[in-house]
Amino acid sequence: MATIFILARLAHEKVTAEARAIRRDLGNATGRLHVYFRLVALLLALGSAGCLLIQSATRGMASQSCFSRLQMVWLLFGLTFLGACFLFPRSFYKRHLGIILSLVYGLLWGVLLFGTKIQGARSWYRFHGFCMQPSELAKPAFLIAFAWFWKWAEKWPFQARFAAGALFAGLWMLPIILQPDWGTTMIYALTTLVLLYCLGMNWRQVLAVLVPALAGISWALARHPYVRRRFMAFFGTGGDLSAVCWQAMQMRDCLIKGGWTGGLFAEPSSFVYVPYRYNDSIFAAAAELLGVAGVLPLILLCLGWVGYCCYLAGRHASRWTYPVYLGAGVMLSGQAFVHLAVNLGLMPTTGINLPLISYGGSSLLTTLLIIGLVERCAWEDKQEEASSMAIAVVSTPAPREKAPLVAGTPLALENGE
Amino acid sequence: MAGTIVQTMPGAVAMRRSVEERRIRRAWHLLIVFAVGAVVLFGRLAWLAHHVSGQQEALRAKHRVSQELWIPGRRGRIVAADGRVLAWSERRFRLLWRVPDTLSEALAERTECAQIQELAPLLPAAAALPTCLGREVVLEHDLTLSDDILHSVSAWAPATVSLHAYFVRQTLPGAPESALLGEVELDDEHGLERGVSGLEKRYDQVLRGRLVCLRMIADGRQAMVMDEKSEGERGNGDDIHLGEVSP
Repeated sequence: MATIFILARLAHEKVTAEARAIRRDLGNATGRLHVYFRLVALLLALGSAGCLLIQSATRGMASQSCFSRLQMVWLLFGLTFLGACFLFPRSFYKRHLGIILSLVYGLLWGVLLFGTKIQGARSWYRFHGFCMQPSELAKPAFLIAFAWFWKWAEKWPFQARFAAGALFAGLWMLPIILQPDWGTTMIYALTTLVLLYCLGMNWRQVLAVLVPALAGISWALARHPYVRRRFMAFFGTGGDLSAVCWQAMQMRDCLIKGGWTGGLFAEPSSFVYVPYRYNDSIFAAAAELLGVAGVLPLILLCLGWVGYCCYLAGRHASRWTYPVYLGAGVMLSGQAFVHLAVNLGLMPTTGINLPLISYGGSSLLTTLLIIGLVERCAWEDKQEEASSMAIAVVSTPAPREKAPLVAGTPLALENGE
Repeated sequence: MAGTIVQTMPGAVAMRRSVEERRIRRAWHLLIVFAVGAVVLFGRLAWLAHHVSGQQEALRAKHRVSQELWIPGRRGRIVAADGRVLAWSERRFRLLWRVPDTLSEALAERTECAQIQELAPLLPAAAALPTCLGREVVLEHDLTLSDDILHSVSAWAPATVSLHAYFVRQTLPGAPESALLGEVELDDEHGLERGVSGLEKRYDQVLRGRLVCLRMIADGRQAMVMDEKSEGERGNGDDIHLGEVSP
């Protein structure tokens, strides 16, 4: 009884302290609200464009409007999550990292036992018609955990830190490989590789990471004939591979038919034959509808996002947020580029969504959570930078006094992070 | 404190600065790689839109076939508390032949069908053909997936010979609960089984299968895929266990 009382008391104190911290944080929220509303307006516009595209791409299907309506619901739901991301300071994620990691990693392993198999991969939880893909929702948690791990291990020797970082990412990807979800694994692997490179890995270490990655790809090719067939189809080294090439051929037809200006109001002829034209092949369907001129902004937007993240990483980042920015940039823009490359026939066919545009609740929520996380971190970094400049101005010494050498510089601030 | 460290270890600051600069430089490397990727993607897009001849694609588009099939899901089972399956559904097939309108065509098609070993004994006699012209003749009932004739027909028979699927509800003979189970009937419009009495009627909402939409598409190269749609994997009805529900 006494134990229960003590536990309840501790829980109460923790919740009260948390609420107090959030209230304190909200007290200084006016600037953040401006950022949030601007961001919501932009994302709502982009997400609505995605819904319209889904609605147009599903023409001729029996359940046409079902996809776009559901996507709109997910979008509104996701924007609420984005608000939650803005509400919690990044110290919240650091404090509760253990809980977040246990929950997300548990979900990743749990799907192997309790998940539903769709298209050969046991990657989905399904409850009464509601589906959730934990490997998608784990992406923001991966970024937070990797950044935390990197900062936590900063006293380690250089080599050990890289090896441990690669091992951490490998362990994170293991349940996703076992599902097996190759597309998502590829995105995680790409993000890890880029993060390790940007965090200072030299070329020898890059090779040391690439060798096991190539071994893993070889294993997947040997073990899963359908993956092998896709690669053979892509490199043109197989026999009759028409069934494997179907999707790639139809997507190519869409791109050719779309031309420079597309045929939004013309009778659809090519994209109705493309499988998964509301998610995995949405770029090809969009190219037929809008043409090169219409889809060019999508490519620029993807480039713009990674550019923005690189700018934040170079300009404002602390040691914790640097991997978060770059990881978020690679995760979303890298995924978008892989989607585009598959749709344009530059890569073997694999099921990858176009973030924010393709149909899929888990993917949309994840995208919005990552954007929310980046914006929150950027806002806090800017606030810290502004306050450090103020400190520097206040502490500017009188001409003949001895000045503190580095007080107020970003390097000094990082020590107190 | 930081100032003290810097004063005593100027090399450390220089090293930290070089690390910071390297991180910023590498972030820019990343952006350059993505910019090159964007140029490649745009180049490919523009090449496809401008340079590829549409002749081959137009030919393939001409031979495209697209068809949507609504297939009824199987009704769920009724399972006793001790695990015995009391009622279950089996998918059966009816073999049909749409006899051509003219006698000469009907005779030619009959000769073609007679070359399929399993189909030959089921065909109507040549003398009886004049009475069947333009009609759909049932050649066989209650075929199951294990019958060889199904595979022969789907592989070799002309398009006028077709298979019609339907469900048959089976019950465990001699089970004491048989009287409680009740009856089902087939919904003519969709081919789904519907409970009309007993437990079959009481738990109809749980047991009843749903329609599954399959999209079959093919092009001039005979490539074909099945595109499962929204109700894809939820077509079959759920089982009920008499230990969990009150009979």
